[in-house]
Amino acid sequence: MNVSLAWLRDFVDSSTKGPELGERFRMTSSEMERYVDWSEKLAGLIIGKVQKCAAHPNADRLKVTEVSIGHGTRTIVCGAPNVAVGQYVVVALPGTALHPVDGEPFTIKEAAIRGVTSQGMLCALEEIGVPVPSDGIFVLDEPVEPGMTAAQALFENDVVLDLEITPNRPDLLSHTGLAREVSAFERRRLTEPSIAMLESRRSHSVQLDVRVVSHKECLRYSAVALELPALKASPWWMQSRLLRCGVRPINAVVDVTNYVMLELGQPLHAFDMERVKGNKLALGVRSALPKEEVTLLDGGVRHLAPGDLLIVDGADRPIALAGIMGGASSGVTDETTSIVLESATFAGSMIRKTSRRLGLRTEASHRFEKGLDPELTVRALKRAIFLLEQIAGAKVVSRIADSCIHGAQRPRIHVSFDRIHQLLGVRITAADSKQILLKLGFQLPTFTKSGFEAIPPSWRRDILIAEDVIEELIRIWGYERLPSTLPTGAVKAPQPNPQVEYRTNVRHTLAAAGLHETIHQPFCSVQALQRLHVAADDAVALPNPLSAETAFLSPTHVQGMLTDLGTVNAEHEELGLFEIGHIFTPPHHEHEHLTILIRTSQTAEHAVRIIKSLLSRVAQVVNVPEPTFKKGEGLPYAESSHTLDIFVADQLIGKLTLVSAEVVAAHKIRRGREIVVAELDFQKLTKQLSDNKFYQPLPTYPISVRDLTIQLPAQLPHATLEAAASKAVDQKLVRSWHITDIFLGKPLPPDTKAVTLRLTYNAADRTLTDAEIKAHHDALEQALRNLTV
Amino acid sequence: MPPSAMTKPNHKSETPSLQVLRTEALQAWSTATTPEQQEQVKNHYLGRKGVLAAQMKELPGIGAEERATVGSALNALKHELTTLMSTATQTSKRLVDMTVPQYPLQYGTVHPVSQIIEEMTQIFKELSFEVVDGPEIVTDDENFESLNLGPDHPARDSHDSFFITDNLLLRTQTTAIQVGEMRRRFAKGEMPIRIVMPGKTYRRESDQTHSPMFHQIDAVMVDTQTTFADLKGALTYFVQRLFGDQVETRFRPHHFPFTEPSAEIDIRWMGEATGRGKHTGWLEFGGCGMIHPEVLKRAGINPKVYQGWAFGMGIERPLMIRHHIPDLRLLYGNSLHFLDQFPQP
Repeated sequence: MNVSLAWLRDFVDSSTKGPELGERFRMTSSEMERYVDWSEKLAGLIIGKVQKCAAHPNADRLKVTEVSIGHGTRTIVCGAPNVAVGQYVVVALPGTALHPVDGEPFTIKEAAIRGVTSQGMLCALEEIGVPVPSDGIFVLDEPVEPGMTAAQALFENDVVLDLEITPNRPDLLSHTGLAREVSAFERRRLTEPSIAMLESRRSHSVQLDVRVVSHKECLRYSAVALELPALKASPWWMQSRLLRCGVRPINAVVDVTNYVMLELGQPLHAFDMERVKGNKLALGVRSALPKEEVTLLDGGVRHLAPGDLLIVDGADRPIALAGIMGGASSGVTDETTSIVLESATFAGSMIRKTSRRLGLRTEASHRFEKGLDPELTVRALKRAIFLLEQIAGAKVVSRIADSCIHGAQRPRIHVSFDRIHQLLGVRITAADSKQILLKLGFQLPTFTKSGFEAIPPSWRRDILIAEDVIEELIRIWGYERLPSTLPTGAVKAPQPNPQVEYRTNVRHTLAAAGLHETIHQPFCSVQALQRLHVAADDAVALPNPLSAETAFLSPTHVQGMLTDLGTVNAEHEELGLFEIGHIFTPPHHEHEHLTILIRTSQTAEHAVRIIKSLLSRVAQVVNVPEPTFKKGEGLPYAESSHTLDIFVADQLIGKLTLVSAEVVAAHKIRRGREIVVAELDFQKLTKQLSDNKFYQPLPTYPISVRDLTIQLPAQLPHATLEAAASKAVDQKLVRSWHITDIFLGKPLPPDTKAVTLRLTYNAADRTLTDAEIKAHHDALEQALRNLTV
Repeated sequence: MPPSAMTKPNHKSETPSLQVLRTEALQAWSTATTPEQQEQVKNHYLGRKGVLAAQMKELPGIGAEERATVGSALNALKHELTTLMSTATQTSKRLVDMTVPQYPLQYGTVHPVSQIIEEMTQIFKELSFEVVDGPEIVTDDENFESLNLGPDHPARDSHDSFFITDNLLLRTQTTAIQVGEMRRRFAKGEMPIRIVMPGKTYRRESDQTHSPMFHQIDAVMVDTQTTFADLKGALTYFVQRLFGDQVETRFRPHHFPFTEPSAEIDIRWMGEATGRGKHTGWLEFGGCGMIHPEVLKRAGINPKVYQGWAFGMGIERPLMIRHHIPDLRLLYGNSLHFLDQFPQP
């Protein structure tokens, strides 16, 4: 909302400078986003009076003017066709910088134009940065003192604030509403705008009726008919204020409707009376019929649905889309000599629905959808009549027709001073409370030491309960005056959330192991699914995606990770990534996954071994039993038959897979093409966890570490060896054992591998003798030596 | 340091000939620079047929009285030379280049968004808050209706949502967890409520400062007596712990349908303060307010007995300011060149 301070001062006598007033608004109701100081914008420009205007001796189209600028006159060459003696015009003297609407800023210099020295320039509005196209220079419509600044003469030396109005405050989308705020936070008197005084018993030449089908959809509908002489432009003062607020001047009638909207917050619409008259002048409000259409002012035909509100004429033909835009066939034209002004309160939700469905947002709909004050309709009409009489010589020719529901009760809200203190943690005095609320337009029918009853003003339909009233008090009284305290109260020790704690632990464990945590946007395109060989049916499709890239929710973290490996992370051949986050499966399930990816340019087994170590470590960190693996069903992006199911305590918690060569190629991954992925359901994993960590006795007798290397067929799966070794190792003698090395290649014969087991010999009850160890070692070798594929 | 300086002579009763021998030996050693020369000197004096061995052989021929003195002196000299020549020989044999470069660092990283979430939740934990998370697919009721955002509420405009069905959507705010979590806790008698809720949120917008997926954190406190002044205090504590005490806070009115009264919090670095990260002028930090009585009622909590406050903010903005990250999209690009810049503290 653009607020002109000059306009605001019509209603409240505040001398606070623009930016400071903006700060006050910011701290009491509405954030100031920026401001425009017109004195700065038009710095250096002054008003001159054209004293002489003669033809240029050397150019047909140019004039040589003598312009009085208060402290002397200047000779200025001017090419505008409309320049004439007696005009008050905008003068840019040499040295003045101009910022035109189009093009680069430039500085005026004294210069000879076809042999005549021009001591400045007479300006058009566009040349001084005001977006009003014209063929000639700007001419003021009333006399002013030559030499006065243009900022003063054209724009009241105004400062215009751009305020962000929250959706609950449609009353602040108006100068009178914002003036009321100033009167509250500066404790000043508020003046109302002048309105027409209508004689109540006068007879009228025009019979105007209005009818509303449902007052639930249209709370109030008011209208009046006026006649006016030929339609002309509105005076400069009005155009100027509209321009400052970002509204384009059109003609006196349209300008007045916009002016009243910016002043009071009530949108008005003017119909050409002749075009909506028919047999009888009767405006109606009704819901659209199925398949009904209306052609609007912007030329577009809109297909309506029941629920869309229409304004119809006496013959029930649509003449406007209520609260949004007028119809093409009913609007004011240059020939208009009589009008019907409409002023209504539509139900906000109705306007909002239609406006959103049709994608049609206007200044009017923007206000209506927030819910306006029904008390405003007739007042706005009277203000518009006053202005039209003043600037356009209009005459009222009908009564103000008005259809409304009466007796809408305003709430009486009880507020105790204790409640204010209890909610805010500070006491606001009775005197302060009273003054603030009265300035804001509340009625206070009862007011005692302990509290008061407050009736909110009609324009504050958002205020319903005591907390709403307290907000009004604190925002004007000042949030900055509230103390800052820390919460106190009964002791309640916070309980750690195991999910969160373990998530953090796993994250740090994997990072410490050299992996990078990624966070991907969990969206993907259909092409991304295809690259993974995932069917579109196996992913959640978004009905209203932002783009093709957000058409689906990712069913796996692998999607984002593999994409990176072919692009931003292409050069890292040896790489570990992990991600913890939700993935999505149809119809609308979500699962928290921990995904670990290892990429290597060495063997796939190398990556498998790394991932298994990491899973083992993760299991330790979240305190669940060691994971075990069984052959599992393949995933779409996995190398067939190279998928393992991961179990923890007999529960299936995820899969470990080798990404297939086709999928790797589809992602344009050229180096480090062995990619192994573990995907775990993090919720299932952590469900297994136990808090128990108990002490185990340390070894008391000497430890002896022995290696055993045996030559085996290269094709022998490690699982076979492991099973055999587990069986053969005597746990009474061996504290622990593991594989330290798997070797293939020279000098071994082809098709063989050398596997080294490292055994830690230690008995709980005695020192083992060399003989005992040797016997066990030999037996183990015996058991493993003859394993076959 | 010359090797000889490392050994302190201790030869009170040394015979003149041994003293000469010692001087010669030390000199010979100090002039031997190559390992071969050193080996030669060592053999000459300490070898089996070396000078000292020869002297030892002569001991039996000396008178008993003198023999004890000479013998012990000879032993002392032998010990000294052995120590000197063996250590020196070893060092000179081991060639260790102490100027070798480090290994390339092979450490992983925790994503900067996770880092700041951990840090933020840690601060709330210090204020006795519990961390809570919830689903990302929520009902319209959880995300909107229960928070006083009816179907036609104008405030829904700023929440352009990804709907999955008519009633299910990707949550547009972590506040979607609020009512359900309050209801659950109240029903179990777990009062007062102090919870902090970080997580992913989704809106249909994408540019330099908006990402369709982003993160928020919400905090909620409900008790029989916790005031707006408490809210102000808790958030001031939070801001100062996060950015340092050279940051000031400002509370100004705003409108949220689910809080009443409502405010926005701005922060600003004071004067020339060089806090963690830097931003000129006031920065919009988050929204907050006293929980609307209707919202408490929907959680089954009687607003005549309990009251509470709520706070919510976006996570990316402060993160970007702290690390001077110019574009939000860098955060979710996951380039290692980016991630490696933020090693876990």
